[in-house]
Amino acid sequence: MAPLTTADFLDSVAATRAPDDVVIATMTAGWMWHAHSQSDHDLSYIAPMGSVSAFGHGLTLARPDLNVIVIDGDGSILMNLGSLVSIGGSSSSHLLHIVLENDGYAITGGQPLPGSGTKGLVEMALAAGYRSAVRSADRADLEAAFERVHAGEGPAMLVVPVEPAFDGTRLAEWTQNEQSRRTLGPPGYKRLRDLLATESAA
Amino acid sequence: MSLLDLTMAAMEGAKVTHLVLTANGENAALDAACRKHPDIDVIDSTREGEAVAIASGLALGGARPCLTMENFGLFESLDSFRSLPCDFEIGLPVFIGYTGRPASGGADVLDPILGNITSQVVMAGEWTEPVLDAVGIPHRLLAEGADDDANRDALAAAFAANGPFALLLESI
Repeated sequence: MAPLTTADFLDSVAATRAPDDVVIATMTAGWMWHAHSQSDHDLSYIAPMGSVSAFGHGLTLARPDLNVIVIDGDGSILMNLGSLVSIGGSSSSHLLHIVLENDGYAITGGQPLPGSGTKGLVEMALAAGYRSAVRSADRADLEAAFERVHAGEGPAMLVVPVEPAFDGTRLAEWTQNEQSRRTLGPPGYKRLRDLLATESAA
Repeated sequence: MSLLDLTMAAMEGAKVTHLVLTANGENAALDAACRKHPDIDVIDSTREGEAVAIASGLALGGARPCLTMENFGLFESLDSFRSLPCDFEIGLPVFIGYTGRPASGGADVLDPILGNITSQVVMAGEWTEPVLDAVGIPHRLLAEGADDDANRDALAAAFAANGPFALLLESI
């Protein structure tokens, strides 16, 4: 399975998501997502590692009508494997959990994952109760994962092998722009919270 | 009025929708009361840092969550508190079991199964309030048998906070 670049994959997510899908990105994807999406329904944050799956799970519990896509990292999910059990045992049928598998802690310098990393993550997710879990870099599998979640057939996981390269020299380019000011960190949280409340009331 | 009744009244007044729980003994009656409550969903989690993230996601979607955890778990969850409800200013009452509370007289802690576990809990008790003070999470003590107004004030402060607020209790 040939890995994608993270940038190419994020472009595919931006092209596949529905306009009102909520996309929450963290770690490598959290830094880069603003350069690939201009949606009002985006939120990025960087810490704490491993929290985005639980955070997205909480959102689906409050708003089961929303499609929630979380973009996680392999090192990140290894810091919160218990969330697989919490999500798998829940009714989060509109949650898509994407894990970018780059075999290391990219944004801290590429330190390797311990042991076999996330190579067994698909089996773990299925055993924990996810209704589907696939490891693939194919665009068709990404589209199929979105279709399942839009149909309420989640929680679903998609593990995507990506190249380990992380160009930290581009951080300013990724984060010092209008979209990042709207969707990154505390301002992004408050803006999205208010937007979801407004849309829900309408 | 019992502390449990006061707490449930405060939760109903604040229109709490979810109690996110990580296993602990001190909040057992609160857990049981919430599981019976028609308007409060209890969400189980595997560790305290995960519970903080679930609650933060609930709040993003317009829900009104509370947390329960042990003070042991408070220490585990500090990075989640820092990065989510503290940084994002999410109002979040947290009922924390206060094992080893220093003011409880220094008596040995006797567990019905494990026996004398004093050495295992003294440090947790000694760390609890200094750690909360160090990270700027406000806290108040809830005590069965204390003046009802004092407990009501503590609960009101927690539900009015614009961030996490610890309610320390030895049992409820």
